[in-house]
Amino acid sequence: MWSVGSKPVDVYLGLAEGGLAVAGRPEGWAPHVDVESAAKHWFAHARSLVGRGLRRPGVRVWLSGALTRPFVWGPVQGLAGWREVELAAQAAAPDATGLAAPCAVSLDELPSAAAALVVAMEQHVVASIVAAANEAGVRVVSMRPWWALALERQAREAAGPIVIRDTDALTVLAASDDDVWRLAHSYVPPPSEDQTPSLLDRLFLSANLERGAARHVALTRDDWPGITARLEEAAA
Amino acid sequence: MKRVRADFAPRRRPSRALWLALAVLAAGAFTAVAFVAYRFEELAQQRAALESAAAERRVAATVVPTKPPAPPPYERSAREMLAEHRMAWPQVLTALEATALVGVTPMSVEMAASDGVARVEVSFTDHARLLEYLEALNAGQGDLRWVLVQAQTQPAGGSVAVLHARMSKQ
Repeated sequence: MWSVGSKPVDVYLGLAEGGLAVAGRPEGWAPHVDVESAAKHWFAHARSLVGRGLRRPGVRVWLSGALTRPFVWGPVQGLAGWREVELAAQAAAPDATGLAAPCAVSLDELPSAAAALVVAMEQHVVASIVAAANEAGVRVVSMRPWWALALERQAREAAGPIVIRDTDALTVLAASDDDVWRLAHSYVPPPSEDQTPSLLDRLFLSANLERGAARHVALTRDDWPGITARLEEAAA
Repeated sequence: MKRVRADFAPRRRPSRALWLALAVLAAGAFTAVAFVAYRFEELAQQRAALESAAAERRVAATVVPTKPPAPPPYERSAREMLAEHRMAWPQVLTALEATALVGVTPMSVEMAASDGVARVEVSFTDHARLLEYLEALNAGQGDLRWVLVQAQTQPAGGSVAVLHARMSKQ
């Protein structure tokens, strides 16, 4: 895990709100108009809090389910090498997620034998966050979906679907008993608490999954650093 | 369920200073390798030269002495001519001319320059006359010595003797 001295710096970025935490303690939370301006604001704030050394402070960026959307892709035959796989996944991402092209994608495995999970993000959002970090004088040591952290804990504890609600999306992930991805989708905007059960009923029924086995994780703005820290401890 | 390791942070690339340091190291390594290769080549050449010199010395040590050059073809004739020239044949002829004795008649004279011997065949009537003739030949001669080598009487009559004179070199 990265830290400045003993103080990890976390920045959460959603579509419309974000926050900063240093060493697990919230340092601010605010709505924003666009991701780039929010990134500049929180990076500059982080720099002012911990960036007094010669080395640029590192920042972990956690992204909401609206910015980083998963989808199940494949199996796809005939792709030669990772470069072709990435190009094909980039082409498939806008239709599968609703993001605007061009997209940056991340895959952990080739989709040749079984379906793979692809995480997509709009390329201009990635570029704007990196540019904001350079401008503020901080280093982006990681830029990950917050729901992936919640998934890590679930991966260690039990099988079955997981439903993750963050500030602007409801992300649902499910895999079969033999670890083949069956379901991965981010609902943006997230359904209300009232609508969620019926949505999950329909979703799990269509995917032939049991709704009752699903685990729920939620990110709350008041305790997001604490939840993040607890998830990290559980996943470690 | 599997973990999702998605991370969109840009991969950190080596800085220009690191690339420069790597380039300097690579250049240094290349130079060192080239220098070592050059020294190895030089060493190999020196070793080859030493081995060649040692082989030459071994060959020189084991070579058999060469035969003296063959004499020119005319040398033998020249030597014979020189030997004949140096023989005291005038003394032999003078002795034969000056010695005349009834009953002994020179029949042939043969000069063998290679042996240094003058061979004179005479016919004689009796042995006493032959001995007189021999004494007459040896009388008054300095270094020319006549000897009787052979004397025999023919069945048909008449006797033949062979006299030798050792000719000294002039």
